[in-house]
Amino acid sequence: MKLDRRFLLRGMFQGSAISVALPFLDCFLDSNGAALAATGKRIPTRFGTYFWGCGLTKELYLPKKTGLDYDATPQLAALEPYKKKINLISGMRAIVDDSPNYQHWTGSAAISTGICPVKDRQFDAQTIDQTIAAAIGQGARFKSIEVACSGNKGDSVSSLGGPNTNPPEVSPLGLYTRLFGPGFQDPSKGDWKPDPQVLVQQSALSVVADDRKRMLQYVGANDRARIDQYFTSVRELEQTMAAQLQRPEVVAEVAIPSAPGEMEVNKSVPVLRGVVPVMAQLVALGLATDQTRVVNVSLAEGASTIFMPGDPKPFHQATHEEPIDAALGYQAVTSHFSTYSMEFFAMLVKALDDVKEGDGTLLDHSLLLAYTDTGFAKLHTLDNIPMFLAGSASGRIKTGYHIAGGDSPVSRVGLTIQQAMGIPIDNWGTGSMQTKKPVSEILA
Amino acid sequence: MIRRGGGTIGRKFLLAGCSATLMATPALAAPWVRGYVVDKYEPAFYYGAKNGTMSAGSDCPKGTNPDNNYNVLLKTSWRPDAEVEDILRPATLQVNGKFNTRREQRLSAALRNRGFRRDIDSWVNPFTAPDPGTQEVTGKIAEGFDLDRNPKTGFTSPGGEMGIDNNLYRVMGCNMSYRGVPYTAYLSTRATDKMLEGLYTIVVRVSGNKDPMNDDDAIVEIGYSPDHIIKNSVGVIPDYSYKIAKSAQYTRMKAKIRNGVIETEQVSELRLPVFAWFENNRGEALFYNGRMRLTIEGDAGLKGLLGGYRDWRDVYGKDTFDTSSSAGTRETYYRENQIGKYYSFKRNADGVRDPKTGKNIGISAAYRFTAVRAYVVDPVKPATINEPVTSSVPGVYRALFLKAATTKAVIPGPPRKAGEYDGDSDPKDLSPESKPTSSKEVVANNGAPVPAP
Repeated sequence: MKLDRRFLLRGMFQGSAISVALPFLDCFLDSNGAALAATGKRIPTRFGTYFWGCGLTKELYLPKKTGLDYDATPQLAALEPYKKKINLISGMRAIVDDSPNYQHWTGSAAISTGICPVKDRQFDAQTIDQTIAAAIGQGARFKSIEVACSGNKGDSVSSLGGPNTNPPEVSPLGLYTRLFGPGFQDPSKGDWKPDPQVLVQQSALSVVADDRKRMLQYVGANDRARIDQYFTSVRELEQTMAAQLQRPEVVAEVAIPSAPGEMEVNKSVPVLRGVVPVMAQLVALGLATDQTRVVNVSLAEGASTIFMPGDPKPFHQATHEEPIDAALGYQAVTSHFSTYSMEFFAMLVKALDDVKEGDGTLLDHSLLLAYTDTGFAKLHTLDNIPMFLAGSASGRIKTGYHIAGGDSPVSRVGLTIQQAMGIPIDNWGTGSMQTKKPVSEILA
Repeated sequence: MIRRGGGTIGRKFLLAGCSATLMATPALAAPWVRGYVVDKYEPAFYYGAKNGTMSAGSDCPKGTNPDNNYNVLLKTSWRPDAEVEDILRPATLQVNGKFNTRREQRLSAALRNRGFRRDIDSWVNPFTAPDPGTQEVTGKIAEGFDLDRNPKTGFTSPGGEMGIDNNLYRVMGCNMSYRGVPYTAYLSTRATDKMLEGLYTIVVRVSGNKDPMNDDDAIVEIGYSPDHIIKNSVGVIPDYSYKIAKSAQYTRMKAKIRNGVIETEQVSELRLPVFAWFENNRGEALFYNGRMRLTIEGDAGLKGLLGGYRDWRDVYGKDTFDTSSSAGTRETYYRENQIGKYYSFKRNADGVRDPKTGKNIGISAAYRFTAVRAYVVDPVKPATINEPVTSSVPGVYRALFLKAATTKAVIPGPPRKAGEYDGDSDPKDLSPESKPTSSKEVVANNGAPVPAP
């Protein structure tokens, strides 16, 4: 029996020849091991991101104190009810080395990939959410869900690398349809049925089992061990699929609402105030019902053009044109947009915290990274970029802290997140962004 | 490349042994070397108000130039008023169910065409549009040098020296982005931040044979370093080593030192890195009849002033075409007026006469900087310049402008690519107009369409 990298496992299913290529399965299975470890009756830990453009106003958001019980600040007022479930991280920077500072791009890409990008509008690696989704997402219906509250399909911040991003849902109805439209089986209902596509995949694996046994007769001990390892992964995949053929263990107290009507979606702040809470609630429901374990929510693009009707300039334009008020010490109009961006983040946090789940809330069983692209949008600075970690990742993260980063690389946050999510790495990032130092103060 | 982080320790002590004896204790009547890395750099524009960036002052009695009057700028014989009105509709004003969220992009595109015909690229052919007028500096005080050695022409320095030539200041000194007390103007702070971030590095090396504070036979070198500035949250850290590149952006000048003030000779060409705030506009600045004055500030560093005549056509070309459409950014976000600037440059060109036309192509200019003590070293293998990662298209525009400005013939601009990235503004504003989003537009995570319910 000839075995090579083009080897296919073949069998018959419902009268049709089927084949399974080893590399495909191998790759597929490699990305599932950790997810399997997370299945069973434990409540899964979920991961999410919230991205907003053009940063915050240092004079209005940065607390004077660090550690626990830091002082409240005006720009974070909307987050105050959840302060004990959130970590604020300030004072970290993206270090470009020989790469340019691509405005409204380098900072956010550095946070989400650990690499300051070589090319504009391109990721040098997959974003952290996709790394985590590969580890924890299997078993859920969707590997990840992306949402652009602005209604702009170009505003996704999730990518497998390169110039393309994962297409986002751009309206509440679209998000609802994706999560709870055709193909959705409400796990709380009595008529729950397994996904037919999973049935087909399971059957396909089953019929190659005979071929698998036959192949093992023709290989030596070393290869036998390696192939056995490989088939362990196949069996794990079978178990994963078996899990998907069973009703999800949903412990959250949720009910699936009816579909929202079509809503106006754009970058107007009043419109966003209507859209974001609906998007946030749908995202929370999607996580609670295990439709996905990874979500990425963007408010708008890096050079954020959210606007307030009646104001002369949108956010990004205001950052450039509005002088710093000599008396206040900051840009007054611009600061309002930063405050709005935090209000929208608070809506997402609230939606997750409103879902009761086991002995806590969905937020307690999640880790939500909120990040932006710059420390000071007027100058496109890459230092003092504010970040937040909401939720305790099922107890793996201590919360309620203000961490001052001391000019250290933003990749420390990504390393911390991955370690908290169970990914076995001890360093992350490249060049001067490479770090072995997680934010140990908050790792439980 | 020597990296930051762990690499910095090595950098700090690189060649320290061989240089320390030259630097630590200046010895009288012995060869000496002092090195510096620039930590702030900006046009030397005297601010005539006491504080802020917008106040009226002796330099600009009407205050900083206000936003352009776009109704006037866009008014041409061929553009309907309704088109102007629609372009200028506030971004946040909804008409027929649509916001004008791409107002700035539409406005930038329209500003390109304001000559006597719609098809003329006015930034390439600025003489085809009328002079919109611009507030020039009317104050009497300026920093810089008496480049033409005529005390009767030019400004007076803050210290009382007559004949200071700095007409770049006269042209651009009332613009929002350049106004403010030293090192606080918008583009100054932005450029300094980017320089400290690693966009480019300028180093200065002073050497002599007598006393570093008094030496008639000193040498000043200024140039580009491929090494990134080493900083912490406080500022540039002194005493790190920086290689100096001599292939370009480099000048070596004779100098005399009196009581810690270093005056260089006036050289025919003074070359160094240009004042820049993003990748597209860094490169070399060339000053004709250039010179420098450096003032040693104890052991910590020095402050510097450099000046000379810059080819105003080069200044206009790079300012207008950092990218193919950066003039749009200047005329919207920065409240400048490229056409007005063109006419002002022509009026104020005050040096480097073109023998063919008899007209001046040089405009006097001065820049100031501060620098921190460092080791400036010649590597065994000559250091090279990390060239900017930029498109060649802006260079095409600049060449077309130069041809148009020289011949006064209307030159067609190159065809523009759809969605061409400005580089200095939002590259990807695909903002949707206000409309209900149909479920038919929804796509799944893998790009597959999701059927409507």
